[in-house]
Amino acid sequence: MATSDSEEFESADEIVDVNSAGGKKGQKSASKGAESKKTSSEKPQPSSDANKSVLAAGDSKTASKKLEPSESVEKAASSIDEEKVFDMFDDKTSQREKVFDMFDDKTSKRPLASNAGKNPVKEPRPSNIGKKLGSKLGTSVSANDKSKLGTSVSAKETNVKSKVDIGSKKRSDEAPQKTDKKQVSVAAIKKSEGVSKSSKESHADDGWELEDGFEVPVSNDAKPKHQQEFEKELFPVLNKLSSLTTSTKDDTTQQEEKPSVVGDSGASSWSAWGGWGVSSILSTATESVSTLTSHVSAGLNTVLETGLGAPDPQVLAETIEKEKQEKESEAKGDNEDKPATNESETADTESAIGFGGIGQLMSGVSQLGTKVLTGGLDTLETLGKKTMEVLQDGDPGLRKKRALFFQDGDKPVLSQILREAKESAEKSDKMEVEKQAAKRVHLESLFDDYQGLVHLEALEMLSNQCQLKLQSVLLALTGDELKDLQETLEQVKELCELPDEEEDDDKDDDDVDFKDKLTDAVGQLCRDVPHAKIFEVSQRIDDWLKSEEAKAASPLAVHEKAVASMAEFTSVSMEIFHRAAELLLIKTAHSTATEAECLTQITTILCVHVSRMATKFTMLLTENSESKENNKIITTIFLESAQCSSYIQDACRLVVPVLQVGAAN
Amino acid sequence: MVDPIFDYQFRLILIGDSTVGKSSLLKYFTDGKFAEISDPTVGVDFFARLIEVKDGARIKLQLWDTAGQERFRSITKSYYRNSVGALLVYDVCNRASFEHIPAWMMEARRHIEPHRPVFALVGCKLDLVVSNPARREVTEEEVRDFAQHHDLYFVETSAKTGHQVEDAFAAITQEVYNRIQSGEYKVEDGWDGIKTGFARPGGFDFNLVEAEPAKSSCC
Repeated sequence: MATSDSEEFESADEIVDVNSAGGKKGQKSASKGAESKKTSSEKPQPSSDANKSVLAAGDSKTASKKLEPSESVEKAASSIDEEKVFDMFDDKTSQREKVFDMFDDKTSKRPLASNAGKNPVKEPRPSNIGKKLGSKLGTSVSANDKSKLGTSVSAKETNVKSKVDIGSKKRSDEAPQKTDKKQVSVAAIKKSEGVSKSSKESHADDGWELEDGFEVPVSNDAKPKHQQEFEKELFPVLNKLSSLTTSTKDDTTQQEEKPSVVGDSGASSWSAWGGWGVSSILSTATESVSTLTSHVSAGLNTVLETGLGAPDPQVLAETIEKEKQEKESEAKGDNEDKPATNESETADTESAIGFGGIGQLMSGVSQLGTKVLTGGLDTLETLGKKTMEVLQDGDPGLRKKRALFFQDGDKPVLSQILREAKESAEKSDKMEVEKQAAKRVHLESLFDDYQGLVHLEALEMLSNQCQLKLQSVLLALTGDELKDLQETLEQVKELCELPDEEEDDDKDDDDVDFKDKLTDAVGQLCRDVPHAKIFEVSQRIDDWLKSEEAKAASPLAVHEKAVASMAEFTSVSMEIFHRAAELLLIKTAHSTATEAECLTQITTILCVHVSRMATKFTMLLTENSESKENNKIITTIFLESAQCSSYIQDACRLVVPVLQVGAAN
Repeated sequence: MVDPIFDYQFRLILIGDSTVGKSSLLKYFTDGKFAEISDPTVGVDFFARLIEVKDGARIKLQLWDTAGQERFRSITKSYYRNSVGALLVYDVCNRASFEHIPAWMMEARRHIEPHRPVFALVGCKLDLVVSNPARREVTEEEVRDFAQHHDLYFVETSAKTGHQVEDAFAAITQEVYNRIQSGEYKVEDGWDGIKTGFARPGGFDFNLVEAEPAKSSCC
């Protein structure tokens, strides 16, 4: 793809040189011009003494001016010599005619040349245009050398031709075009003895070559009517030209035509290029008028339209490398995929032959053309990198710019931003909720996991069932019987009332005490209630509290263990109450007073044990470390132990109707 | 010991004659183990397991293993109410246990009212029949006819080999879930047949992730 481009560069050089040589006022030999051109495009090292200072100045100036396009406009305006422009134009047109003649003779195959041959015919009264242009140019044209104009004519021709070829490249390689142009303009400077400021600005070699090199189209305002007419005449020719190119396929033609249309409205760079000689003056001159924004936007459009998004500079570099290789292979004429390139190559050869006497110069030119290419491609790489740097500065992925340039790109970008914002908001909200939920639900969820909750629920169901039963019994009774039963039920309730806050029992023998007391109470309440599990659980917790693991545990770990232990212990307690209730219900003989006493005893024992468990954990906490968060955890542990006690007491109360049912029977 | 996260909790109750194998069935389902000898259940026992339905929703099954013994009958009645589904369990080697199924079904219907429970008919101890076909007292055909007549899901299982144990629970869970999706069942206050999952650390996130694809698929 890029190969044809590089070929273009070479041929462009040739044309430029030939033109300047053929021009009346060409003050240098073509070869010299070409040479200095190449060196300058590589780096500001002019080989020609005449250009040395000029180039250096141009360089430094552009470097300092890169961000002030308006300034350059002013300077351009100030450096106009209308008279000379008129002269130049006259010279230029005649010169061009000569060039065209030459092309006509020798480059029959070359679409550009044939097109160019027609051009002078279609250009009525060049001097007239020149005059009208002169006034217009007064605002923009800064070149003051006739030979320079000749050069820019040919430069435009080159651009047109490269445009045709580039068309087949689907505009994927905009940058080479820029370089192409830049080279040409550099060449133009070489040839002019006195170089104007604006022309200097047009060929910056530094990091802002994108702007300078990327010769953005002349806006409509800047175009004189004549030029627009001229362009209109020219476009059909150009289109024809593009259709002549054997390599160009349908899409090429489309791309050719499209830009031309756009070009009329002055929006696309193609229009200026299609503008041929006259517009070339203008575009060269008014390129400095074009604002920074238009440069950037045009460049961006290209970047975005090609669908590359943000092309990696490395990819560009690789393309360049490939370009070089392909060029070499193409020289052997073995590249069938790119007839356009072959064609241009043929054209080159032919033009060289046609020039006969200048043939020698041509060979020198083509040799040096390679050097220009290499330098140009290096510059191109820098250009690409810098461009992307600038474009992506503060705008990673070019997201904002894409949104700016793509209308339909707006929607996905906007919705994506909104979605992201929503997600992040939800996430943070959720995190907050989770944190609170984790604190709040922890004991409950563990209580559920240890099946304490389901035992409590089952107990509640039994209790409700018993209450319903009692109510139905009471409804069936009347008089004394009812009174007696009510009294009995009330007595049971009183017996089951839990004593107010327990004074702590002796802590010394609590473990043994707990086991014995509980076994005794449970046995008296109902023989078959399984209670081995609770001793198992409590033993395990005590073992852990004495273990090395406990001593090394962090406050957080102690807290978690405390909650888990209390939850498990309470769950097993629930099972005892639930089982007791079930067994009491199927028990036939009741001694309700004993049962009630045992029930309250069991409740008290379990509550005390939970409280002691909490104390043990908080003691472990203070033993392990002394930190501020300990107080918080200690408070939490005691709160949770209180919660466990309330579960146990709830369970106890739920058993009361069961006892009442037993008493009622 | 902390349970994984779940979207719903279904409470299922296992009912059936004593010694048909309810506890063994649950033990295999929750533990993957089979005990040759097990004590008779006192009142009710609880098992829990997480199961995934077809659309990926995670369901915690809270399984109430009721005592089959006659003496606990008055107690177990109390436990029906908050169940969304009932597994009617019989022993393929015990004709009487199958013949009592309609009674169990009636009892469950009556106590679970006003809610309409999902029933599944589960035959147990299939391994005994496989090793000795003469022991079969309930043919598969007659049970199938019965199940069709009452519009029940039916499966024969073995808690010893684990044969089709999973299928039995998966089927009833899926049916309950389907009824939730269709709007027949709702999470209600004061009824614990269906509960939504606990919101706990990480669980919230998971629930949302689970819920979103389901929403988008129906839109």
